[in-house]
Amino acid sequence: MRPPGFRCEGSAERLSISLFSACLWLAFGAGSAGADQPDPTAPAPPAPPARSVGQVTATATRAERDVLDVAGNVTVLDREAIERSGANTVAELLSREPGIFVTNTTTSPEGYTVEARGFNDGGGNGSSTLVLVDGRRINEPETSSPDWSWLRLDDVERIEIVRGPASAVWGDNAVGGVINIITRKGAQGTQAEVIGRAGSWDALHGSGFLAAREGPIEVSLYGDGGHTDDYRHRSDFDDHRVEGSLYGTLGERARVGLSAGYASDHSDRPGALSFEEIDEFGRRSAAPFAEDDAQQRRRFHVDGLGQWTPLEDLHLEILPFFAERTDHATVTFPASDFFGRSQSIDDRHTQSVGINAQIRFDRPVFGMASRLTAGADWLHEEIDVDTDFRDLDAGVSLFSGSTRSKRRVVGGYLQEELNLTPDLLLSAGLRYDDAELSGRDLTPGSEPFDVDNAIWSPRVSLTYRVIEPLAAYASYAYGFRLPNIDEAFGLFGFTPELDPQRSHAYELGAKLRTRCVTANLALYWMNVEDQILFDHEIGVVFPDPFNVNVDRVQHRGIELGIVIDPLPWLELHGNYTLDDVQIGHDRLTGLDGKRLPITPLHRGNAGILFRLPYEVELGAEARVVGSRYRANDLRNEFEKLPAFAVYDLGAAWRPLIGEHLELGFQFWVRNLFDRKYTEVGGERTFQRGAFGFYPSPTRSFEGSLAITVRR
Amino acid sequence: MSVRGLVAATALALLAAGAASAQAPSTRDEARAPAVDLAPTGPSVESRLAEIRRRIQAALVYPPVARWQDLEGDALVRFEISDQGRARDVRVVRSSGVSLLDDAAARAVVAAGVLPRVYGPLEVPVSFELATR
Repeated sequence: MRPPGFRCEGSAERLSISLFSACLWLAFGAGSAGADQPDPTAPAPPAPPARSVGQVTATATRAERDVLDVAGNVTVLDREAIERSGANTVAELLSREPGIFVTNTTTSPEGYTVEARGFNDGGGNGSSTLVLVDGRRINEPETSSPDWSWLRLDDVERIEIVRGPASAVWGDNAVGGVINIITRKGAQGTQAEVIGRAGSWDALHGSGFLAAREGPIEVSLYGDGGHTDDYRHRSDFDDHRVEGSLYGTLGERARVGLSAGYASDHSDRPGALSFEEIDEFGRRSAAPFAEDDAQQRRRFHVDGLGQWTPLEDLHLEILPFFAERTDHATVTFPASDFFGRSQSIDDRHTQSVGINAQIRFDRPVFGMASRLTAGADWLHEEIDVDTDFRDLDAGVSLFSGSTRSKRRVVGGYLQEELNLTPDLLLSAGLRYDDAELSGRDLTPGSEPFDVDNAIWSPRVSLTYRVIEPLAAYASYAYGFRLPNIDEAFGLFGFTPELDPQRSHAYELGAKLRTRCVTANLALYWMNVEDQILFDHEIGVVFPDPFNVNVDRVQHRGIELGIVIDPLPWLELHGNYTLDDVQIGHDRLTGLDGKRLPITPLHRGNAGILFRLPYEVELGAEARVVGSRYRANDLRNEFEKLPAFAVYDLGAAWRPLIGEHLELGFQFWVRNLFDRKYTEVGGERTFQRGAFGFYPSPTRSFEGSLAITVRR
Repeated sequence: MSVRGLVAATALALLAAGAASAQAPSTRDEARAPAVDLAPTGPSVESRLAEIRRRIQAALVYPPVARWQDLEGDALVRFEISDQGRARDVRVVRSSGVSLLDDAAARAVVAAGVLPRVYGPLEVPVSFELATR
């Protein structure tokens, strides 16, 4: 709503031009019949200069806290950082962050596993890292893992990474950390962008983004699509998606909006190769036993937004959402100790509906700045799974079943942030979740199950701003992950009695931010009770593999990240992560002292960026990953996967043409020295002593062109 | 030319010269202090401009929704003061990039109430800044 007497600059300009034309006609045209018409292109006389009354300023307290005052190892990557990174996918960008460990079994965006603080054990179990997109959780109910092909980096405005447990606010899955992804919207103004990418293995991808804002209305539209043959044979990946949003501001105090999206992808899955197969067929070959392996997925979502600020310091927000997913997947297993070559064909249909509501209230308490946050979440999910598991050699069905499961989670939380002194912040929170998981197998004679879990998640922290650019913090936080549908009720599960995984984490950290240096240091100590692990040797029933609660697993580590800008044309960045993860004690498996697989003890990244004249940039990135136990090797019996280091080299040119047009050329060489390494590999599920590996890509090239128009 | 004609021409020339001499100071003043009331009585122009700034500042409000959305920006608002002392022809001539802030800046000028009279177009730069807690 515009104030009375206010008019838009555009309409005023048109009005003054038409009045000026009328005056010209009156002065010269009307009095001189037959004279030439005035030149409509003649410039108007300059408007009289206006006199300035002087600067006025409105100030308010920022709603979001400074990152330095947040008790945790938090990183915020904005759009500029995303564009400069040269990363192609969200997961690739996250792989450069301390504390986050990323692996890929397919080399396409579909196969990523992203975990924080030592929970990446090869993707055999559900995710302990919560991923939110615009406030909506995208961890799938059956696997509790997010689908990283759901969204592309071109559609991302900002990524917030919170390391460590945060169930006191977000509940389920927030054990290792939380990754909050904000997609691009129209609030940043009128903008149009087209990005095209081409690269090795016939990779072609294009995206378009359009945003406009007119008065109180913001509109955005995003679409992309692409194809890649990818590194391995029979690893083609095709994806398409479209997203749109419409937001409107109602006066100064309310905002409402709606966004919706649809995505589909198809991926061939090349499977794991044995050493012998790599020697015989080459590392790019697909597993010879798995020629049908593929996955097809479709996603749809609608999200609403309502924000209302009835008082200056009281803010209410409500996020209703609906999401639907359909999957069809074929996975083949080589001949095993139990049966011949076997194949699982899965059809899954998932619907999620929920509401997240939050109230934030800023009001001093006894003269101390304070913020009280209260929230409530409701989530209802329905998961239908139809599975056919066949012995292909014998031509018989080993297992065929249909399950219908429901998950209902209701949570409420309260959090208080209190400035005991201007430099000392006390933060405390508590959340209660009631989660019900129920299901039934449609096979006659099967017993339905219904499991209820009630969980309290506390958190408390102290942050001290030692000096303006330096803060230190200490925190205790609780995190939990509920058993997912696959663990409780899936092909390798049948264990609805699994308990939720719970963690107690203690953390000390320091953050420094000056004009030239940004640095974060975090030391964490986390005891995880009942960590859910997939142990394929502990099984007591056919087909043997079994999900178990391990009594206590110790996760301890160090995260160090630093960015230095010593000179205007030079940036150096690097990070180091130590994740020491071992089983402390377990009565059932007796695996005390054994290290968990896949996550290495040491890893790190380093990079350098030269900002040259004429908007040219040159950059190099290195990623070093230490040796780690193979997937499923919970007993630490086998030779470790070797350490590897890969180097990327890139160049970018981002000329600004005129006031509104920006071009961005990028060219990257990945794995510059053509290293042959394997991110993931492990003991085969049904075949003890037999191993499969997922060879990672060798040297590849990628170029992109971005055309951006901003007004 | 007749005597009457000569007298008339002289009178016209004197009138024109008088008119020109009457306009000359105005032209010079406009060059020095454009578009400002030159009334010799009452508060000075500077003090009236300061009072206008003070009243706009008092009427300026950070839009609550913008604060919660972490939106900042600078806008430039142009306006004139009507004979009744009210802001008129209020328009944002340089946008902050956020319509919510542009509207708030313009609204502050309108809501500033009765203002000291200053003739000609005026401009007020309006900043919206969020301080970190």
